[in-house]
Amino acid sequence: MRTRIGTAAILLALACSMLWRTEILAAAAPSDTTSKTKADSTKVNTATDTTRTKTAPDTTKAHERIAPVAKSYVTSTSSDISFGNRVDITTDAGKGWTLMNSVSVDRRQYRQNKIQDLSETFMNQAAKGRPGLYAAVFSIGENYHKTKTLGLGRFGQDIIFDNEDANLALNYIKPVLKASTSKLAVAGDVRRGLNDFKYDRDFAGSGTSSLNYALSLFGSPLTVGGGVGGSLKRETSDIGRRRFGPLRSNADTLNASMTYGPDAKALNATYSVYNVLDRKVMPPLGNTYEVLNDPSKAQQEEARSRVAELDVNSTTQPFSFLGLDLKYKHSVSDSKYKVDTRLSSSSKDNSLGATANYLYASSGSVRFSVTTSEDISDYGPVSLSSYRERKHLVGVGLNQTIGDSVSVTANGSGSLRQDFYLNRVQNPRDADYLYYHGDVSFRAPFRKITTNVTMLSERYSTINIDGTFSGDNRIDYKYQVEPVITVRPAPWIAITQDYMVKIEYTEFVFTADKNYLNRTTSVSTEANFAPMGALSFLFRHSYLMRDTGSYLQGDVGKVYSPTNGTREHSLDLTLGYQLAPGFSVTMSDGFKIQDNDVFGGLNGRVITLYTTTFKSGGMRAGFTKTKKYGDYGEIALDVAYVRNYGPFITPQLREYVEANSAVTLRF
Amino acid sequence: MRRLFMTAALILAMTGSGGCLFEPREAEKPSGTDQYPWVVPNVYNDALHNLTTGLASNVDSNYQRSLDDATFAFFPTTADATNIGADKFAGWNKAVELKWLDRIKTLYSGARTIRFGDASGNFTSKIEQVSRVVLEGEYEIDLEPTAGAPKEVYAGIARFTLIQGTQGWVMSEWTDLEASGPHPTAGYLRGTLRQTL
Repeated sequence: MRTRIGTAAILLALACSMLWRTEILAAAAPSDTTSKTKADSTKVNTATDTTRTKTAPDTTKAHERIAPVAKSYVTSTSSDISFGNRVDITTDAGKGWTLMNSVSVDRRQYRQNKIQDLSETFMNQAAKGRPGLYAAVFSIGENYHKTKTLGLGRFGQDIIFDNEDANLALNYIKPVLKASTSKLAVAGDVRRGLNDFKYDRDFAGSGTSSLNYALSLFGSPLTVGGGVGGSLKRETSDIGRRRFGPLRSNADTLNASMTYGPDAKALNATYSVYNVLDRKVMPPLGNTYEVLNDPSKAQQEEARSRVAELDVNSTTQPFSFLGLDLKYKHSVSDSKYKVDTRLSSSSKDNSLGATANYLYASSGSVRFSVTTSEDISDYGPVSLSSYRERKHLVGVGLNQTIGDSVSVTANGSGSLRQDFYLNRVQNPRDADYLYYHGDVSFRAPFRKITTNVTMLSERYSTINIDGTFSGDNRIDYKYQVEPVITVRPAPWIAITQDYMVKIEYTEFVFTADKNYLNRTTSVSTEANFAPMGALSFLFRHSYLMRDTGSYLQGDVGKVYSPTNGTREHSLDLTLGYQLAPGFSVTMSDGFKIQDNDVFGGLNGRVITLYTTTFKSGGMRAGFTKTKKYGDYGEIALDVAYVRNYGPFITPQLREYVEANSAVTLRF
Repeated sequence: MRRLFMTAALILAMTGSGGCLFEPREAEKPSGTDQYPWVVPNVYNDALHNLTTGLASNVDSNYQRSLDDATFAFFPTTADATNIGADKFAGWNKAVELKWLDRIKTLYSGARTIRFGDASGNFTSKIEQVSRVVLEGEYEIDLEPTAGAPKEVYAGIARFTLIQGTQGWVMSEWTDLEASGPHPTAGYLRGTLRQTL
């Protein structure tokens, strides 16, 4: 029934817009008469054309007053098929009034589960404004969403959200009290509707004001601003025959900001405080299953939170070759929950950072950065989880250009994070995490060949302090070298070869029997051909080889014993051909084959015990077509037939049609 | 050019020194052994097994090494995001998951188990291709606050995406789809016990 109402609403909206348009066109009768004269006559009449030219602006003006847009779409993916309609009508009613009406219906059918989602929205909005003085918006709307649940206990039942809403917002933007800019806003909202297990009625109001002053101090610009705001909400919730409320919630905020100096040498400071009291009805442990059968199990949550933040940062450039940035941040937050007490927490964070950019030559620069921070997370006096965290970070980066085109980039960083639990006797999970990173990349274009080489090294240490956990202490290493060569022998061809050698291993500090190593080598070749303007062809082949094994301490040092190996080929081909402007066909094919070896030992030699082979892939053939009909609309089609195969694929994914198509009409 | 080499040498000295920049605390000698061995993740089930043992164990390495560094993400149900607050789930990546795991292990010192799939370990949907598998079905997490205490049950229906990275099979995404039965979801457990990061 709702769909029929939605469809009827769309048709009604379209009919209204057509009627309105007819009236407007009727009002522009001279123009039409002239056009008709031209249509009836096969003769080209210069006088008629002149008249048309004269009357044309009237018709255009009429089009600007009312602008209906209707859009229908169909989307088909591997997981679902969606289709829907939407009509938006924007009307310039004159004297600063703008009216907006919108109706939409969307339906989604899932491929794997025989379920549907249905969404319908309806919105009317009237806005009036005067630039530089005020803006007022009034809107009423309804949102409806229905889906089916698959969970045990509620299997196959509908979950419905259906809300009606009316909202009024007023903004006064003319500067007051000699401010450069100011804003005074009030808003009211009334809402009622079904939200799955409860029926809510609420009304809310809010008011905010802000002032900003642009001044000058010692010849430099100074901007000072501030604002306050507050909101309140009263909500009543019915669950079955049980009523909760009215529940009162409120929030208030205060903020202040200051900026001094020009961009290159500025000091910024902002301070803000938020206080929120939120009361609402919740299902027990977030699950509506029980509350539907027994409404008395619903819980009345009360959450109080307060957040205060101070941000100070400065930018200076004492010399043309040196820039310094400083950042300081302090924040305090506290939240208390009446029912879900585990959400209650308080925290205090401080961080300080500095960055220096040094331009040591016109072709190169170096960046140094240091950051230190301390955070305290407190979950209450009886909680064992409360902890303090310290972080230190040092970073350095280098950019250097050699000659006209060769460039080198290098980055290095180190960080230490330390967790200190406040109740260390009962919770001895104190740990330090030490991380080092370094990378160098080199780029050198030479005639038709461009070479990129990237080298990376990482070391991540996990250090549990207490003996109960220190058996898990480990260091993860990663080394990677990746040269990429791109050759362009002709303007219509580009060939890229990407090699990668990567070694990752984990070394346990105390329990060496868990040590583990991966070696990955891959090479990827990609060729792009565009022999004609309309035809393009992409070829990509990748080969990956990986072996894995233990990395244990032997009599003569660490010995690597491979246990498994993987070899993988993947091939992708894509062909595209543009038949006409806005109309092209594409065909792509992908294929992967993977052999997994399990190794064993025989007479002191490593042998392959058995190999498992996996294959998967797919093909996609389709076309895209876009067609514009002047200002009246457009059609966009993107349709493809998809076929997949693999070790295990659902019938729905094995073969399906992919589509992303829309028809847009402007009246 | 001389300045360039000096700067490069400084960067190399910083990154190559491997430990001289910071002074971490000294660890005590291990006083016990972990009873949950690491299984080399050659098939996706190995990654699920390592996650299970990683939750059960008091130490974190099995769990930590079974999550993909770059892509791991958790997505809650719409109901959990509404009830608990979307901000509690924002940017839920591997670092957030490991912090949450620390808090779980602190609060639930008794037995901790996780079951992927239904009681027989089956999923309602499985899409398996080379290097990637998507599983959809039930899961259940049982947690004892202290040894022998009545367990808390968290259950639901979720979509698990596992990928074969350069370190073997790891979990890439856990998307809660909905609650199942009278139990709160893993999203509820995560959202209410998220540690600030």
